Amino acid sequence: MSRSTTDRIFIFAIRCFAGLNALVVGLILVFMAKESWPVLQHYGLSAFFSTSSWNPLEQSFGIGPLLVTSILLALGSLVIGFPLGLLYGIFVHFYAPPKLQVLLIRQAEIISSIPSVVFGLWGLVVLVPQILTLHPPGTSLIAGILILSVMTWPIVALNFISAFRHFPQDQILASHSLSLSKSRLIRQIILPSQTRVFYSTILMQFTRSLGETMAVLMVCGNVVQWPTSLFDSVRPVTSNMALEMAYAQGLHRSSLFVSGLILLILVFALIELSLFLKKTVTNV
Amino acid sequence: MYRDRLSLLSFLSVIVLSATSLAFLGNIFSAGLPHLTWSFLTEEPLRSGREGGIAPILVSTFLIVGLASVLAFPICVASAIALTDRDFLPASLQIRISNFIDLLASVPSIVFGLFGNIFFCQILGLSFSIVSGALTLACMAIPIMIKVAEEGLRAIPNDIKLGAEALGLSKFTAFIRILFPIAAPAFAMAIILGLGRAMAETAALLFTSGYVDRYPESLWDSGRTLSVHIYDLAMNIPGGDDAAYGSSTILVIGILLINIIFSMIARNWKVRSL
Repeated sequence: MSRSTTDRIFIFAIRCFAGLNALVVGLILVFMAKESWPVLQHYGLSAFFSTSSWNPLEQSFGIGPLLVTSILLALGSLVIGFPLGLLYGIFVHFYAPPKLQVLLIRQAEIISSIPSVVFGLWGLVVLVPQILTLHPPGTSLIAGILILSVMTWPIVALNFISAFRHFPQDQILASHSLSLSKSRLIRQIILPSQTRVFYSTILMQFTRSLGETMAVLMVCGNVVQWPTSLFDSVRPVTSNMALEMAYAQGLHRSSLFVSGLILLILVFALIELSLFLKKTVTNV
Repeated sequence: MYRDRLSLLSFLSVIVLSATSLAFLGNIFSAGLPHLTWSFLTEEPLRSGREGGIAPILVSTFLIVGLASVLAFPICVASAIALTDRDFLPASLQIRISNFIDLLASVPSIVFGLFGNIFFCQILGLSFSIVSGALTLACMAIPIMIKVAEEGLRAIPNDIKLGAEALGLSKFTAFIRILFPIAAPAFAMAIILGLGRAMAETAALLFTSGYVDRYPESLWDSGRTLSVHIYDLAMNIPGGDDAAYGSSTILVIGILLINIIFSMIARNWKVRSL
């Protein structure tokens, strides 16, 4: 098909712009790797996993405490936020009268759009002192988990509400004709068919919590240590990068990039996993 | 309502989550609304922000977020076209680009900040500036914007696209005269979504547009946004809590307004689509 010149330019431009997305991802990986190279060349990747303490100014690069904190924060927020969000979604779609449905959905939408610094501010001024009365110092792993849970549940709820809306009506009518109770309908027919939504929501929120920087920085206490109790002050990889980058030089700076690169690769691996699962897991 | 465990559990979770949400919003607004005075909005910060207002910060926020949206929009629209029209990219490439967009959407914000610092501030020589911040924010906002724009283009009935081609219209004309006007509400939603995302971002801006809290003299000057200001007041300035709450209230109200516009456009769109 012979195209006009305008069209040739148009198609070329569209292709270039679309390719920019891939280019940016590539650039991020390249520059993270480039800045990580100095310390990797000097000490090797194993230095980041062989020691158990993070003290870059004394050549100790164990990211264990940082990485474990990040993972615990993300897992904890899922354990609390996911079931609560799912139950909220079930209530809104199956049990709430229409006017209440709209209000509850609005509430979830509002909370999901609040910036993380504002959650961090609230956590710092309201939540942390409450935890302090239970167990000092207040700024802790559990504070981070709770704040992240508050940030997680709205999107879980909204995703499930949207999925419930698309559920085929004929299956619901069939279950009514078999006089199944609503609870059975939800538990044994609708929920098992939502495996795709389950996986994608869990993975998406997990990666989001792994990447969260500000809110956890403000409430977790920022002590680099292995978390042994929920009330320990801890520091995840992201907050570590934000805090130390301001004054890090040379190999220290390079080691921060390594920690970021490891986190980035972890997150990318999870995304690829979720895309893979989307292809292979089918709805009933 | 209390017939069985499931209904009870779901009701309880709604109570717990709503109570937490209302307590949170109530705390933010009750502590922050008293600060919403005209002088707060128009004066410059004094004593590192403990007193005075946030006018320069509002200006910087407007510039950074606005510029980011302007930069992100063409890429968002172009990517949406590429992902929905097989004549621009073969299906296999469409899947790959979509994959890259998902990866981009999942990058931690601090990584974006460091990347922006290395690439925009150092390599492109822009140093701490509004432009660096806007470019970085654009990268972060693009993935979610693309999702909405793509949906908007996909919703256009196929016969319209086929009819345009049957009439011999060039791709360019078909897009500008037919597809874009139909999908315009979706594109507007995409911009607004991008704005909301950009206004909420903090970590990425710390390393790309800097900390300065006076009026930016040009787009190449440094400036701080509302979210960076809140962070600084809460963490680095003792006694800055009050101003932090005031700024938070403004930020939340701004985002809520954007959300309201968003849902109004969404409702109009649903009515207009065939």
